[in-house]
Formats: sequence, C-alpha cells, structure tokens
Amino acid sequence: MKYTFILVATPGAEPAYGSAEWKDYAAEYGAWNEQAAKAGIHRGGEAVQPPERATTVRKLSDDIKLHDGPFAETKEVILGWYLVEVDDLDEAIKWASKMPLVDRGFGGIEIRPSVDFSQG
Amino acid sequence: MSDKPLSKAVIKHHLDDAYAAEWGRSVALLLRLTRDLQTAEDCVQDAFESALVYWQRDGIPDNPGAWIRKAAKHRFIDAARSSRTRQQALQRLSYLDQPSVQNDEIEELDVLIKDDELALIFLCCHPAIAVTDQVMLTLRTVAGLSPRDIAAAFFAKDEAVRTRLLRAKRKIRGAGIPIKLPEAVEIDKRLKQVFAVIYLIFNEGYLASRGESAGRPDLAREAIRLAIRLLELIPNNNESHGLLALLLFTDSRTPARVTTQEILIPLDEQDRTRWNHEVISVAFKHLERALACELPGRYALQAAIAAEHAKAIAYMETDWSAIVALYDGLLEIEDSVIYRLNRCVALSFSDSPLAALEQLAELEKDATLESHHLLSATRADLLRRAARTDEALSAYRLAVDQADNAAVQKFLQRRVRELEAKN
Repeated sequence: MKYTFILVATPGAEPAYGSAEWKDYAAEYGAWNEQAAKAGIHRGGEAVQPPERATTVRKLSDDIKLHDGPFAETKEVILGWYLVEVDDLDEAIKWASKMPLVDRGFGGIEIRPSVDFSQG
Repeated sequence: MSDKPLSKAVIKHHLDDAYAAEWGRSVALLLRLTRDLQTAEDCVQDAFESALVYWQRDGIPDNPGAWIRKAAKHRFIDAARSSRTRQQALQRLSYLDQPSVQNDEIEELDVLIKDDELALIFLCCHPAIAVTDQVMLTLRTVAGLSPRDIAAAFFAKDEAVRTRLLRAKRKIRGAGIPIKLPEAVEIDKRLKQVFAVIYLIFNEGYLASRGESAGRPDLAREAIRLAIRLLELIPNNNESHGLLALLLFTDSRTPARVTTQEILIPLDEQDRTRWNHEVISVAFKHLERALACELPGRYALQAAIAAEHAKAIAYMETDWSAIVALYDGLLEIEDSVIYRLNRCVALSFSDSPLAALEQLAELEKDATLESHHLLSATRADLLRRAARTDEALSAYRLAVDQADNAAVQKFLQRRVRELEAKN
C-alpha cells in the first residue's frame, strides 16, 4: 500500500533554519531518507513553503473558491509530506514514528492512505 | 445427533449457547477468507440463521461451532460472484482442507483458529481506531453483541452504533490496518490496549455511568468472558491474570453494592457476607499468578488492592497501610489522578482525615478532575469525618450536581440529609 506522510508542527518548534542545531536535525532527516531508500519504501517527498503561501481550493455550491491559507485554523501547520509504500498501516506507523519530527517531539505526522483506484 | 425433532425453544437455547461461545472464533476464521470484517460477520450471521432451520430438522450437531463455520464458509464461497474472488478464497481455504484434516466435526484446526481469534481481538483494539469504536467493535465482533445490545449498553441510538461500527470497519479496510498477530516486540504494548478495552467494557457494565440499569446487556459479564478467553489464547501472561483477578474481585461485590432501590452502597457499608466468596477464591488464584513476577503491572496491583478489601472482615479492619503502599506502586507505573485520589482515601484511614485533606488540596490544583464528582465527594467525606460539617455539606451538594449517575446521586443526597439532620 502507498501512504502519504504529512508532517505537521507548531511554527518555531523546530530549530531555526541554518542554526547549528538545525544542521544536526537536517542530518537526521538525511539518515532517515537513507534508511527508507535502502528499505525500498521511499517514493518521494517535498518540504513545502510556509502557510502564508498556501492556497486552499474548495468547491462551494458548485463554485470553485480559493482560500488564502492552510486547510484549517489550528496552531499546527503542514511542513511537508512523504510518500511511502509499505504492507500495511502498522508498517507505516513504524516508519512515521522513526521520523525525526516525531522522534524529537517537535510535531506529528498525519498518515493518509492513498486511494487505490484499481479497486473500483 | 439426536433422533427426535426438537422444539424451537430448545434449538434457540442451543443457538444462544453456540452464539456466545462461537461467534468471535467464527468471525475470526471467516476473516481469513473474506479479508473484510463486515463480510465475515454477514456470513457468520447467515450461518446462525440457517442453523435455526437445519438444527430443528437434523438435530443439534455434535460440534455446533464447526457446523457454523462450515456453513459460513460455504455461504461466502457461494456468494463470491467473480471467479477471481472465488479462486482467491479457495486458495486461502486450502489450509483448512489438507488431507490430514478430513473431519470438520472435530476441532482439528484449534491452534490456527486460536491465532485467528487473537488476531481479531488485536484488530478490534488497534490504536489507530478511536477508543469508543474499539470498545464497540470488540463487543460486536469478538463478543457477538448485536448493534441493538450495544446501543442499549451505551444509552445510544441503534443507528448511531451501526454508523460507528461501519465507519470503524471502513477505516480498518481503507487504512490497511493489518489482520494479523502483532510483531513480538509490539505484543506487550498492543496487549495493554486490549486490557484497557476489556476494562472499559467492565466498568461500563459495573458502573452504568448514566441512568438506570434495566434491560441492558450484562457488560461486566461480557468483559469477564473476554478476559478469560484472552487468558486461554495467551496463557501464562501475568497481567492477563491480574486483569481477570481485578474484574472478579470487583464483580464479587455485586450482590452487596446496591439496595433494592438501586441506591449505591459504599464499600464501608456493604454486607460482606453477601459478597460472592466462590468468585473471590477464584480471583485469589489469578492474583497469585499475576504477582508471580518481578514487576507486577497496574491490573495486578489494583487486584492486590481489591484483595486487601476481600481479606478484611470489616471495612475498619482493612490493612490501609498495605493499600497506601500498593497505590505508591501504581503511581510509579502511571501518575494518575484517580490513583492519587484513592491513595488519599487510604491515607485518611492509615493516618488521619486531616492528613488526607492536605494531600487532596494538592490534587485539587490538577485541572483534569476539576468538575469531577469524585473529587468533591471525597473532600466531602473527609470533611465529614473531620467533623467540619458545614464545609462537608457544601462539598456534598457540589458532588450531587456533578455526578451523572442516578445511584451515586441518591447516595450523596442521603449523606446530605444525614448531615442536615445532625446540624
């Protein structure tokens, strides 16, 4: 099965970009990426730009409406996503738990199973 | 097989027995074929319905469970329309039909069915499912309660329970929650969740947290049945013994805990001769097994506390210092407000109500229990025993407002009346 990992955290929870602490943190992402690639589960992923640059698209009463901002008004925002392919949700949870964001307690990952269009 | 035709009532009785004993295991086995919980349940339900007709005609089979599973399997294979689904099902079936296992009437595959049943329990108690849904799924799928029974148990609408169950089953399928035994490293963690679900079921039955109790299925009994089954499936687990001991000790007090008017009788006023001493002696055996390890778990320790009450001939004869020590052990495992509250009560006897009030003041700073009637009721009780009547009265009145259980409210109101009479 394919799963999308959506990385979320409160702004400022992670080390500041470019700081010494950030360098360690980034190296841990590198290690996770390497492990996942080695296990053959890594299907891609991106870091996304901050919420001020987000646009949410919705259809309201048959009309496409654009909303400037993230999907919901909560403190946490999306930081990026990963696409992994593993056997089942337990495997996905295992990999998500090893993600530095989760491991370090800075934020969470929303796991969304991808739609399997082949099942009709 | 019996030769005489049986009455519908007799068949119904046998079916009810078979239902209680075989529902969960049958769904578990069918799940191996269907890979879908709803389909598995539908097949087993169909099999039970056809049993009503066939058993009346042919008599009760020697092994009702095997009969049900066989009928359910055939139901699924007949219903599998596409040849591909059918082929897949037959492949999954093949392990059931090896040459060495010709006779469906004996439990030839007991070990495999046990694993399937255990996998089903873990599936229903999967942490990716909301806890309320875990409880309902376990009752429906493992214990075989109907959605209507579950609705009655939780004072919910039938339709709401059906919707929840359906949503949970869709989540299992859609999110790819695996139908298999957890990995060895995960077993302990996942078992804790199973224990928690069983304990929640028990408490829902034991406390009936809202309203009156008439017409509700006996959830306490269902929980005990699940705990016993879990112990059969995973023998020699200390904490499983602990959980069962705790449920049994608590359940043993049932005959003595409410008046005929459904008013709650507190532990200190219960007629201990009315406790079920047969149940207590079984509970002690499980407690012994639960404590036979280096670090007894939370259920073992709670059972040990219940055992102290069972041992004492009267409330005031209870070994309160032992109970305080057991709560200290529990608090090392988990810092829970309820444990701290109960420790306060034990301390009020082993030391003094004033010492306990001091500890309680610390606890009241904790916001999580802010509006909980237990906190006010405990404070009220300590104040009453410290002869601070006016303060006790207002604490009792607050507790009455906060309680949402009729039996508890009636008890607290009684205390208010007693104090008013004294004042």
